[in-house]
Amino acid sequence: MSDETEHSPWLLQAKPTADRWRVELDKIVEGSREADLQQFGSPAAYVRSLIFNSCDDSVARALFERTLDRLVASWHPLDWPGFESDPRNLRILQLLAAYTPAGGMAKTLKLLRPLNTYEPRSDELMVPRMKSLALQVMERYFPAEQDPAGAFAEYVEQLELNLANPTYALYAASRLRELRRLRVVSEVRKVAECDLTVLSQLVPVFLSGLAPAEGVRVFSQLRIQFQGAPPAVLAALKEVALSHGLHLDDSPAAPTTQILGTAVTRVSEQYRPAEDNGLRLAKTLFKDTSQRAATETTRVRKDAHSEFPPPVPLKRREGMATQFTATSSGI
Amino acid sequence: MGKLEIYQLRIELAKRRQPEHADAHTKLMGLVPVDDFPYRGSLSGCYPKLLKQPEFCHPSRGRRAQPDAEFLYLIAEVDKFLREINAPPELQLLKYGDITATGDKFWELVHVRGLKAKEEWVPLSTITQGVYGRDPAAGEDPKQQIYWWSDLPLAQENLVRDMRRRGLAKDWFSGRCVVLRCRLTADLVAATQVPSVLDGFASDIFLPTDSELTPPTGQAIDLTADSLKLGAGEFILGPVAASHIEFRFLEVTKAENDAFAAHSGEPAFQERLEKYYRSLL
Repeated sequence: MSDETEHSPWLLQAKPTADRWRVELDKIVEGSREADLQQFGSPAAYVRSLIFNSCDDSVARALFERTLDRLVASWHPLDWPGFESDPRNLRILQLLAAYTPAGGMAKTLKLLRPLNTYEPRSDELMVPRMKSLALQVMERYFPAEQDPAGAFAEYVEQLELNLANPTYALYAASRLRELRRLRVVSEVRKVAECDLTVLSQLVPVFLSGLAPAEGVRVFSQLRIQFQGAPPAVLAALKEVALSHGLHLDDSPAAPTTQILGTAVTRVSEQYRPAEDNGLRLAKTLFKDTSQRAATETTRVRKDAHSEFPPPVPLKRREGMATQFTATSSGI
Repeated sequence: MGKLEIYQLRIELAKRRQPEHADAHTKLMGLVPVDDFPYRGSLSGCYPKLLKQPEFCHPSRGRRAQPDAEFLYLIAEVDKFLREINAPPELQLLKYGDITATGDKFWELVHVRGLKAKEEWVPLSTITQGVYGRDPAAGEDPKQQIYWWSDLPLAQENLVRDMRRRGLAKDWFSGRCVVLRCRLTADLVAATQVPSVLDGFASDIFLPTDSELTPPTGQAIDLTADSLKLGAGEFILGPVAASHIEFRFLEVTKAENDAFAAHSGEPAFQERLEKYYRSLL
């Protein structure tokens, strides 16, 4: 093997070339760097270390990014049999999430579509992992609404589909809220009827950061959506309303409000907007001293539990590796 | 001398110092292709195969250690750290995807915006009530639940030097990390083990201790000087309850990381390692 084609991570770092990067990326994707990925925690962290320790990290980064572009250009995520659990797709997604090469957006959307409708068996642990990863990759591509418009619209559509899925509803709602695309749609009722705990977590997402009048309006829309829902669902809605200071009076004599041409029970009184708490943890973790941090965290947790229902683990769907929850936009 | 030959020196050393593991060691060796021996980026090809072997990375094969310190320290990449904690809902989205984006995001969320993290130890229990360790319920392999701790304190000042004293080569590090410290209670002391050759099988740089001498700790190889020598004490622990652990973020520049250059794949370094192993035979 000549020096030019000989390959090792050390050679890649000492004398980086596009070919060497291509070989290394192939090895990462194909699974020949598994011990390193375990040690670093992810393919992208491993790549970061390769770049960080290169003789010239700017050159290394430029070569890596160019090679990743080429890799993504030749990547067809649905072509591999069993693509929904193929670890190669997972590793590429992990790289896309960290480096967001332009070509990765459309390919990820392509992969996300079938994943959104796929019902994994209980032993298919990789599938939910792949889907959550694909969702997060899209989150990286669309931190806010931006071009291309078609891809953004498609992304929003895929998120809305997930509002009907108890496992992903909170995440999807949080993301839609963040993108200012969260609408009260029928999927919300569907998911609440599947799993009541989702309802108590979902409503705060709808109300997060809203001024009182807007909060009441949105809650009223939710109320309309739940008309005729089973009593247990309505009771849960009432409870979550109370936690926000909204008294939902269902008695026949209760005053009503016209919302969207429909008379609904008035929901007003002392509305407390849901805290936009995506960064609450970060804000409370680090104070001037560890002691203060601990005290503050305890206080915030108490507050959180008194204001909102404590985060209850979602009912695990068969086949899910773990629950997938969000508390609000911002994460 | 190639890496295979260096590894064979290490095997020779291991046979002399830990003969009780010789058979298991030989079995594991048989699974590794000749051109796939350690030093950064190798061995990975057969790693999944190794994980299936009961002898490899088994959490309860070592001898009991006797750490004499108030704390043990562990250093982890941010992504690795995220994989090991059972994060609360606020962080579950970050953890769940198991991606570097999560590491980046976590870093930004907690470290950059959290600001004062560098100077402070933060109780791990503020972000997880569980353990620092893999969650088999999330599809993680429970066999990978051994963690390498050291009694050498890790602080921002001299971080790179102290990492080398723990036998961590330059290429092990990507510039930022989470350092954990665990207060040693009687229970934890009882759980610590001296790393065996089987624990260190996949490690780039590893020094087998001599079983006959019943050493109280494992011993890293100090990479700071041209002549390698004995480094910090090291221990194996399984998952540890978050309530025992504090963590903080540390970061070094590329220039700092280059200060005690020891790249595990560099021929010059491998010569140093070869010389060291030979001196012990």
